[in-house]
Amino acid sequence: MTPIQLQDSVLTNVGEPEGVFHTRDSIRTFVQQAEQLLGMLRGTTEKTFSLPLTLSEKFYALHAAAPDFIFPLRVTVLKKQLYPTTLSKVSDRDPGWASCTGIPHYFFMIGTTHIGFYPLSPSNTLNAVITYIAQPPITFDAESYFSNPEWHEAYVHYVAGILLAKEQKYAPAGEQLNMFLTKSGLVRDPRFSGAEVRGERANILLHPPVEAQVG
Amino acid sequence: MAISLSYLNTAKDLLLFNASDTAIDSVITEEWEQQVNVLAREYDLFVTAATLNTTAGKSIYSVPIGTTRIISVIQRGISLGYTDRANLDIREPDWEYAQPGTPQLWAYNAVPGEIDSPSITVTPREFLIHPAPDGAQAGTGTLYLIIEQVPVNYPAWVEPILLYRTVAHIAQENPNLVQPEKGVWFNTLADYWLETARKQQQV
Repeated sequence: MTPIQLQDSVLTNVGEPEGVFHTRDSIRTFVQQAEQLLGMLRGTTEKTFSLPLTLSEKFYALHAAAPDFIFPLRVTVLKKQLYPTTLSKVSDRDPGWASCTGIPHYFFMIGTTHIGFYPLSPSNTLNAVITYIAQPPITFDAESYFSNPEWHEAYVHYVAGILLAKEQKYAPAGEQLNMFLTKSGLVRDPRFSGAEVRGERANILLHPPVEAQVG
Repeated sequence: MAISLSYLNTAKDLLLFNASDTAIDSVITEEWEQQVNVLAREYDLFVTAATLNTTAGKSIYSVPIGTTRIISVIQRGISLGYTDRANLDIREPDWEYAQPGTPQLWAYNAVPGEIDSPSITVTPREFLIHPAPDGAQAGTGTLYLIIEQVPVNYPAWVEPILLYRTVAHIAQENPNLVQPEKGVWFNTLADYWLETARKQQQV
């Protein structure tokens, strides 16, 4: 599906022609967001970059090197995969981690913006190769999609959902979002159904207590 | 970092304003900034580090402006253990008189700055290390903090969450623009995004 075809399909789902109310420019922004959400859910927006390590550096800002970084999938140093861990675990295991150098065996995220390695890099010559989920660019032409065509139909439903909510048609908007999840091979979310938005679903117990079942 | 023109126009579009309607601009801009603050306070998303100087015998220090939480305190390469003030007070009632030495613990400060001086208040902006560093431990740049901070620049992946939260809050709460259902709907969507991001990022 080209971006033009995708935009046409969105407008068909919404039931409004292109005009003042919905423009192709606004659709593009939401297509990117759909691509990003699916990237986070299904890992469809994968990229790799090389992060130069510095002697005894405790942690590294990721977005200076990779502005589109969202979260890591895999980290290697000298072609050896590092084990994921946390700052808490490292601090607990070795309170002196911040002055311990050696070839890194572990990596840990600090918040969402920094990454650390344990042990700390022993030199300025090592590189960490980081595979990560990236924020996709906004689509401008037929070639600029980040992910494969099999996901394009899902994007149509996501964007249609947003535009319907903008029009204050919340039940069909929620249905479109659930279609997005279905087309992405994900579990539908009851919060997006119209009943949930109106507050009716909240009264229905999905898992009634045992006492109620046995009377 | 202020809202970009592109996201400002998108927010206006979702709230059924034209791009040329500038009356709502300041409302959206302020709400966006507010949501950045809220996100930074709710979750450990935006982390940074700071280096502080220590003075022999001094146990109380201030965190950099904008800090919402201390994640870790490292003194001369050693991570200090966290304790809360109540436990410290119970375990070592006379800790304020403790001999300076090698710091072992840190806690948020609850010691009054100066008695009978209302202008000096106790705030979470201060923390203490215990025991206070002695001459051998104190020095320039010896204390390294990993902190959560309200960001000046945030990564671009947060922007959809900020957009949906901004639209939701304005739709729900702005007296001139009450669209409660739209507020609930976009809040639900923002929650879904945030849940997804936090689950994948493990924060």
